[in-house]
Amino acid sequence: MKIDKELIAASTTPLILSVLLEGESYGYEIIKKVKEASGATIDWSEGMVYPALRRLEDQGLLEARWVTPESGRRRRYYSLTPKGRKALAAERQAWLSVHSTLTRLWRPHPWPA
Amino acid sequence: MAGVEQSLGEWRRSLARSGVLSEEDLDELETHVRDTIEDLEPTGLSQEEALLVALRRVGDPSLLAVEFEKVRPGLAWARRFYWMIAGVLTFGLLWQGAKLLIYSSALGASIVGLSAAAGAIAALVLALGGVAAVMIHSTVRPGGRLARRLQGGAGWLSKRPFVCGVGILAATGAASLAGNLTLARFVHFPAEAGSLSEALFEVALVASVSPLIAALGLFLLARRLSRGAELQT
Repeated sequence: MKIDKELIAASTTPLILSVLLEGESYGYEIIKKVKEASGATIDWSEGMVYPALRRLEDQGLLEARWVTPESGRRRRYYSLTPKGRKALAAERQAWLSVHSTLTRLWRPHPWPA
Repeated sequence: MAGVEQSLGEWRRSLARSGVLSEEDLDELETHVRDTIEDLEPTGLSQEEALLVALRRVGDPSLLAVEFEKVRPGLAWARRFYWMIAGVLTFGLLWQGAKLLIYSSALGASIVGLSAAAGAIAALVLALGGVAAVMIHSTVRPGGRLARRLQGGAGWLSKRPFVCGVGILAATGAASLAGNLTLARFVHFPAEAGSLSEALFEVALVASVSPLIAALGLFLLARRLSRGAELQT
């Protein structure tokens, strides 16, 4: 199953924000976690996640800081701001309402249609 | 391994050429590619093969630049434009300075040379301040740390571009009026009045263009900072 491009684009914000609900993380790890959680059905063009992170940061939903570990690479870690949490709560409401609408509409029909 | 480093460097440069990505963006993407290569190691791919896979997954540099451009619209052009302004201004001001030196030595009236030079220096400082403001504007990210530091009165100023502009113009006007009055009082215009008025004209020209640039720069900066202030709340 391949998820449509536009749906992937629309879900980028809630996906990123949801991963960060667990705590701060960096681009590569965020992408990996989403891939795992989706069972590899969500296949981002990986580079595109970075402009999205930039946009969320500009909107004040994320905060970023560079972390240099004792051994290893310097990475940019992102974490949710209070505003980001609020935005995620709103996204959650919206997605749950779409989900429950579809579920209700599909219920009377035997599947596959 | 050397081949991988070289290809990675080339890829980074091709992304940088778009002018939309900052050094930080490039660092972050490069780390991403290196992480991917490292994760592919157990699959038995060679470093070169892993690099190809990693770059493929990250996506086409030109498409990536387009996405970054969407996040910061006009940034690349704004930067080029600011550098152009800075170049033209620097050249113009140096040229004026050289001219003034020639005029003042030819006129032999040191007070003319001094006040003209003072006017030119004031204009230079003002213009460079404006250029600095536009340069900061092009690098500052709304909501970022620098923006927070600079915010202060920026919100107030950005809502009053007219006040900013008039204030700067009035200040320059007052300064040049005072300079001219002093000049008229102490200097007996020599026979070569033509070259003196020409010199003053040149100074007036520089002095009137520079506050405009300063006003534009301050206005842009203030607007960007106040956008950051809105994001904070």
